[in-house]
Amino acid sequence: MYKKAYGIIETLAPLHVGAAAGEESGNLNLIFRDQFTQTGIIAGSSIRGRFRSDMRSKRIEWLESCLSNVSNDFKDLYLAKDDTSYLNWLEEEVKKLGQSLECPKNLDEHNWYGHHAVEGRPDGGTTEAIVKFEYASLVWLPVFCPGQPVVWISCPRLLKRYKLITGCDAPIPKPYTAAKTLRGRQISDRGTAKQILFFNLGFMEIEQQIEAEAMQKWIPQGVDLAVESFVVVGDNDIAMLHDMALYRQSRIKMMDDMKKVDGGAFFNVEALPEGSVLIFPIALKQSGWKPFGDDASQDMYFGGLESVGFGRCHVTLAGDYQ
Amino acid sequence: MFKFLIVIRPLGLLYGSAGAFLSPENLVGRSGAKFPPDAGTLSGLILATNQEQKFSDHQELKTNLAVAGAFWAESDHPENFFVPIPRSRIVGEKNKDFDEWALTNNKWERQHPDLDPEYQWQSINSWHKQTPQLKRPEKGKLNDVGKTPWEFMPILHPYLKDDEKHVRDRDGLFLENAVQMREDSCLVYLSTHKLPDGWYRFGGENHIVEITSQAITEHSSISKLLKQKIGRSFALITPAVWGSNNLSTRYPNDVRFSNKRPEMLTDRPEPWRYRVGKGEAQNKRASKLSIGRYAVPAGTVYVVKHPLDLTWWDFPPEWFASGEGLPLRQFGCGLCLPVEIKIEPKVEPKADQKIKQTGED
Repeated sequence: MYKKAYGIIETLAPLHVGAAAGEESGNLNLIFRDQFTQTGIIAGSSIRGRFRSDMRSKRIEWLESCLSNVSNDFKDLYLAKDDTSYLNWLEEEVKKLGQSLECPKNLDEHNWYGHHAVEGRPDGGTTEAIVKFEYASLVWLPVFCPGQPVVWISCPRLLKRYKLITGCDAPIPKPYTAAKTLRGRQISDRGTAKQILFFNLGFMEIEQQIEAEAMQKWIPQGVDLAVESFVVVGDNDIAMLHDMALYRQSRIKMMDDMKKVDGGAFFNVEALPEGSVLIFPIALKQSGWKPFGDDASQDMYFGGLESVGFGRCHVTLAGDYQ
Repeated sequence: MFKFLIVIRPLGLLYGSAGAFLSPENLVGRSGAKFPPDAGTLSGLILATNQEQKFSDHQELKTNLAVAGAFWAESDHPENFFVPIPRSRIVGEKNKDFDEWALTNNKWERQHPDLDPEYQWQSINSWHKQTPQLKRPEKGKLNDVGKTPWEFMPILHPYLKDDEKHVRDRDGLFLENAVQMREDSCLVYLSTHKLPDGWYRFGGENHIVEITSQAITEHSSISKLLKQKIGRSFALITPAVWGSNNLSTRYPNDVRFSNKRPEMLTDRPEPWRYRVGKGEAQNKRASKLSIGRYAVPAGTVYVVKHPLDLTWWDFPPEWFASGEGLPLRQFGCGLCLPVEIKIEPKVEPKADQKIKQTGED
């Protein structure tokens, strides 16, 4: 049995986790999607990889501190070598000094996220991870409404997963529910007192309105969103609204010496828009995991296309993880 | 007797064994893909958890633990779980599309041979309903029959370099044949013992599930069904491994089962094996793999010559293979429920036809 924790991701920039350019036959680089709601997900292995890589940099700092007692110019020594990674080189150098490579456990990525396979060791030398991550699914996704404030949408199926992970005890709002404070449009000549939301591809009637406090329960920890912009839509509509909300761009690579596209270097990319909120479960075999030091939240990068400003996220950890 | 329903809700993906022909050269082969995990997987989890944090006497648990499955259910109604439909029942898409196999003159016959079965699962509460009365799902609601609530979802995991966001040149990609279950569905197993509620790893490294145990009451339909004695015709709701320690047979070779080859409706056998504990002391890392056997798939229908007049719990241990690890019945092998099959009496052939038939079974 594992300790229960979870992470909340709020995207601060468009987020693309999926196929990279050239991995698909077409030129649209799709994000990974959930099979049933067709909404974007971040694979658990990607989340684990990011946490592993961040802890690896802490181990590199520790290795550097082992060397700094001996010499101050070791970085220059490394630059002369280009056939080995900086980490491997540091490890070799520390070994040469006769020091142990065993760093404090809380800095060792192999300890928390499992040891990768090593050639020549029985069973590949792999170990089981102490911290396990599952994929992150959407909780709230911003959608543009022309002439109206942006609304954040979700659906019962996505909220069910949120409820299972967080243990939240609030009843799941019915489809087409919003808080009473929603700023939609009242159209009286349609013979209805219901509020209407206009999207790019049509309009939606809000069928139920609940108290703002009831909706407040569905705002994840550490997320700064206002209840008056939340709308729960039906499971069968979320896929279409999600597609409407995605950030899409065509991107090209210029030739080095001319302002002209370099051959066929042209691709389209889709990404989750900034302001999306996702949740992922974390299960721990042991306590003592402090990936962000004493803080519960930190900015992290996920996914690809970091070079064009994608992937910056704010991650908040909650539950029984420390 | 089974006393608990073990309800498993995935918190993310699960791992579906990719199939019989998967090799590094052929990563897409999915023939024989396997999901959901066998009962053996859950009993392994129960025994391993008890070693980590004791909740029961280990020897008692090892001797008496029996787990059967896998079944699935809607999250809100795990007690009305879905089991494989007996092969004698053909349930089509529309309410009037149904058919049944009957035994006429020792031959299997059905009325509408063109009708294909659309549903593979039936709710336990509808087990005794007549085939024409089985309700099809309406507007996504589940009724008496259902289709599997999971989808295979291949996920490519890249293995990045230590210091670069770039895939390694060698062994840089790993394809996982993952499975996603619908958010409102769960896996269900029957068990004699409960497992402390909590999050567990189940079905693949880094895949997490929430497990809860729910007591089966005396008056529940599953409890009543399991107490019914098996007569002449019955259907398996879990795969069955019959036979000796190293021989898989299609039915127990014992006169108490049938003194004549039973009539069967079945599909191709499925490979069945499990891993048990650690190997010899000198090679502690290697776990012991059981002998590979073939199982008769769930849904198989048997018609035997004389009523067995036993519940599954009373089946003699010799019908199942044992002698290596736990007896196979503890993994729910061959759990079956009675079904009704129309059996038309054999018409005695005339004297001149009798001569032609000699030598036939």
